[in-house]
Amino acid sequence: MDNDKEIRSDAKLKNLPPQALEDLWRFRNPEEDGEKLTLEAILVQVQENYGFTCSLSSLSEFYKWLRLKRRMDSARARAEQARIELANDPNVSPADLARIGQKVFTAEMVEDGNVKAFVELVKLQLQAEKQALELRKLTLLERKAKAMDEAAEQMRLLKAGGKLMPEAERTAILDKMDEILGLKK
Amino acid sequence: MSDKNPFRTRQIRRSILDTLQMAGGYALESGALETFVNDQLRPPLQPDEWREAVNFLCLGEYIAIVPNDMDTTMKQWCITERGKTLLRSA
Repeated sequence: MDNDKEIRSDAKLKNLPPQALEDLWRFRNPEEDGEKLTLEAILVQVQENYGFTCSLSSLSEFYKWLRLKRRMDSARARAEQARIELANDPNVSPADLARIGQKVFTAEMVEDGNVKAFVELVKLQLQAEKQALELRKLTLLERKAKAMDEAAEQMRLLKAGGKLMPEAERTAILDKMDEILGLKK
Repeated sequence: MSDKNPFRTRQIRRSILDTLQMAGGYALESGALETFVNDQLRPPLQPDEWREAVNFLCLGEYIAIVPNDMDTTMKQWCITERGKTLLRSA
């Protein structure tokens, strides 16, 4: 039952409005010239300001949670910032934006990374992916052009020989050409 | 240990869901998630407790794996809608 009580006071602390969470954070992490309160003093503040009591261990656990929450909030904000910065880039698709957001968030959470440098890295990666795609398109086009040249050469040879091929053979060749050129339905 | 203490089992599962919920739609790398969950637990998380909790939540589709296209060896987790519902009702 004690455990259940602890869950409830923990949950009460965690569900306080954002301003209250900010105030509680400042109690332990004051700005310049501010006074850092002890956990015991904060227990009293909690009762006075928010109207409920909690144990010292619950409060201590709560601060661990609050530290993590603030770190997550910060990582999320940076990820959103990166997405906003890249949102106007016409080369970046919505899917790319989602991936970039996730990458920045991961970098922040894994090692408190340098987001600016990370965004540049992601941009480079996207560029490399796009270049690879362009190269693939070019290879396909070259392959098609080569097939067309070969087909034209075949036609030239046929004409030079002055021979007319039988209809069935002609249809079969045209059919094959369509297949090579990707025109076959 | 987790088999003998249902409160502890629930606490670990809830802590995993709560941590992923805080990520607000983003996925968390498995090692980072384990560290964050461990930071919130006392006594420290044991490897078998971690595996049991993750297996339970994954099999129940309360959490899901998100692939990382920059590093395919990196395992990332996110909370599902079922997970959010479970967390609200826990």
